Amino acid sequence: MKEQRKVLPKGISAADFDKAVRELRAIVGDEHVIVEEDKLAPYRKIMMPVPDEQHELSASVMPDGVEEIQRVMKVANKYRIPVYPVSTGKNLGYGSAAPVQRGQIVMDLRRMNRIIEVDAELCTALVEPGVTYQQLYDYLQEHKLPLWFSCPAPSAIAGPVGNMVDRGVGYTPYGEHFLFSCGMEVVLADGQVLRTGMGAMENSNTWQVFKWGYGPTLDGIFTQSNFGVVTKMGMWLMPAPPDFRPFCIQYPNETDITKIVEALRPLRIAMVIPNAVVIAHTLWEAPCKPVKRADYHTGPGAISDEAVKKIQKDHDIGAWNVYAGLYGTKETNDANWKIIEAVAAGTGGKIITQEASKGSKALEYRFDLMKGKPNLGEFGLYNWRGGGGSIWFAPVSQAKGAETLKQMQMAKTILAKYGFDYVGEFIVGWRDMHHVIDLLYDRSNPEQMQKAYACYDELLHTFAKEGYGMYRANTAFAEKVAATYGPVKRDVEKRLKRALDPNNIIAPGRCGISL
Amino acid sequence: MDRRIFLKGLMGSGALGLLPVAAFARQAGAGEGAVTVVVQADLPRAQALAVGMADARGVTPLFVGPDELGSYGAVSALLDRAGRTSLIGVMDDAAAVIFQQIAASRGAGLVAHTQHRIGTESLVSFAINT
Repeated sequence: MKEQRKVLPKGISAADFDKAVRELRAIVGDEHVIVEEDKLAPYRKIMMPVPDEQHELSASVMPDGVEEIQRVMKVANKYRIPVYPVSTGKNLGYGSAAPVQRGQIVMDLRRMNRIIEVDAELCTALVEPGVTYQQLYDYLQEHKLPLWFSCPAPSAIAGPVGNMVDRGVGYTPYGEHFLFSCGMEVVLADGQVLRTGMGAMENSNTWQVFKWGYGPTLDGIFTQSNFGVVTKMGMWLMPAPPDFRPFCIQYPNETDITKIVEALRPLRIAMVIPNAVVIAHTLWEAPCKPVKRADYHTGPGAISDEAVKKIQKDHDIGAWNVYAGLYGTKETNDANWKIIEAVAAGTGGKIITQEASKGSKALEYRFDLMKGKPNLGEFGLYNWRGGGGSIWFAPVSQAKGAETLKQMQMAKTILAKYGFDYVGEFIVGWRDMHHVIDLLYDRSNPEQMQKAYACYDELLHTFAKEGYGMYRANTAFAEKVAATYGPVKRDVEKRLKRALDPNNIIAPGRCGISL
Repeated sequence: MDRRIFLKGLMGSGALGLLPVAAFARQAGAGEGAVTVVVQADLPRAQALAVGMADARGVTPLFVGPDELGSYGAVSALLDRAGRTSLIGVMDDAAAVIFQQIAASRGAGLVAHTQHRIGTESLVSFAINT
C-alpha cells in the first residue's frame, strides 16, 4: 500500500524509512505505527510560535512494554532514525508532543498506562509513562486509599512520569516532583534496561523507598535529557492529612511582592507552610474567574496598569494572590493558623479562607490543586488574549523580595515592548522561586507569532545576562536555553550522549543535547 | 491538504454558518457518515455558528455549558457519546484546547481548526474524527 507521507527524518531515504516502518509494524502491530499525515495531528505542535514545518514528525510508533521498546531501539539504530519519546505529551506551553527536530518519529508511550503498584503503607506508587494524574486519582479513589499526590495545573490530561522527567512542579508539600520520585526504569539506546537506585539489585524490595543505591546516583541524567527512555517511575504519595486548610492572601499593590516573599520565605523554609506556595499576579487570576480582557482593553498593546487596577477592584482580585495551605492535625493547624493571620495582618494582606471562597472558580481550582485533585481550571488562561497561543517562560529566582520584583519588572517591560501582558506567577520552592510567565498570543495571527518568538528570545537573553536561567523551556527554544548554561556543561552532556547513544537516535536536540 | 484553516476578521452573521460548514464538510470527510455537533452553550455567537453547521447536516447540536467543557469527565463522556462519528465543536479557545487534547489522547485526529474573530470575541470551530 502506498503511504501518504511528506516528511522524512533528516538524511534518511524514503526507501530506508519504508523498511524501518515495516520493521516497526512487525514489532508493535500495524495499527500502532502511524505515517498517514491526517492521523498524525495529535502529535503536531500547537504552542510554539514557529512554522509548523520545523517540528513536523514523520511518523508515530506506540510500543506497549519494555521489550517492544528494546526492539524499536534496534530498528532506530539500524537505520539511524531518531525517535522522540513522549508520555502523554501535554506540557502545552513547553511544547506538547511535537518533536524537537523535523522528521523525528514520535514514540508515544500512552499504551504503557499501568499503575503497577501502590503501597498504601509506605505511601509509594510505581507507574508507567502513559498513566495520567486523573487515572491515578481515580485509582486511589476507587480503592479508597487516603493518599494524595502532587500534580501540575493541566493535571487531568498530563501524567506523573512525563512531568517528573521534565522536572515539573505542583502545589502540595510534594510539589517539587523530581524530588519526590524514587527509582526509574530506563531503556537505553543499546536496548539495555537500567533500573536506578535500589532497583539495580535483583529481588530488591526497596526500589521505591530509598533513592540512592550505591555509587553515583544516575536518576538526574534521565531528566530533561535524551539519554534513555524512562519506562517506569516510582513516586512518593502523601498521606491525606487529618486537617487541610487552604487559604489565599490577597495584596493590593504590585510592589507588595517584596514583602510577601520576605514574609513567606522563613515560613516555607521552616515548613510552617509546607506546600509549594503560589503567588499569582492579577492577570493570572483574571482569565480563570473568568474576566474578559476585551472589557478592559481593546486595540494593540499591553493592557495598562490602570486597567489592571480596575480589574482588581471590579472582581475582588489582588495585585498578588498567595495560595498556600496548612496540612496537619486540627491542633497543629490551629497553632500555625495564628502565625498565618499575624503575617497577613503585618503585611497588609487579606485572607480568604476556603469557606469564604465558595463560588469562586479561580480559588476553587487552586484549592483543589493544593490537595492534588486534578482539574483543568487553569486553561481559562487561553481565553485571555484570544487565539489560544501560549509559551511558558520560566526563569528561576532566589526567594528574596528584591529579586522577584526585579524579575517581574524586567519581564513586564519586555513583554509590553511587544504588546503582550504580564501574566505571571511565582511558585515557591524552599529557597527558590519558579517564576512562570505565560506569554499569551494569538496563534492564528502570523504577526503575533513572530512577536511572541522575538519577545521570548529577548526575555531569555536579557534574563540570562542578569544570571537568571530557565528551569524548563518550550521545545522551540531548547537549543537557545541550553546555550545560556555555558559550554562546559554542554560538552559533558555531549560526551554522555556519545557514550550512551552513539547513533544519536533518542530525541536529538531535546534540551539542546545532540551529537 | 492544509491542516488548519484560520479565518480572521469580522464576519457578517449571514456568513457565519456557511463557510465553516463547507470547510468542515470537506475536511472532516463529512457528507457520508454521522456527525455530532457540540457547542458552548453560553456563547450566542458560537451557537449561531453551530446551528448553521448542524442544520446543514440535519442534526441537532448538543449545547454544553462551560463548566462541562472544562471537565475531563464531561468531555470524555461527550467523546464516548460521539462514538466513531465525526465531531464538530464550536467553543472558546480554552474549551477547544481541552477538547482537542482529550480527544487526541484517545487517538482522535484533528482535521480542521478554524479561528473566528467576531468583534472582540475569539471562537474556535474544529472538526475531529473520533
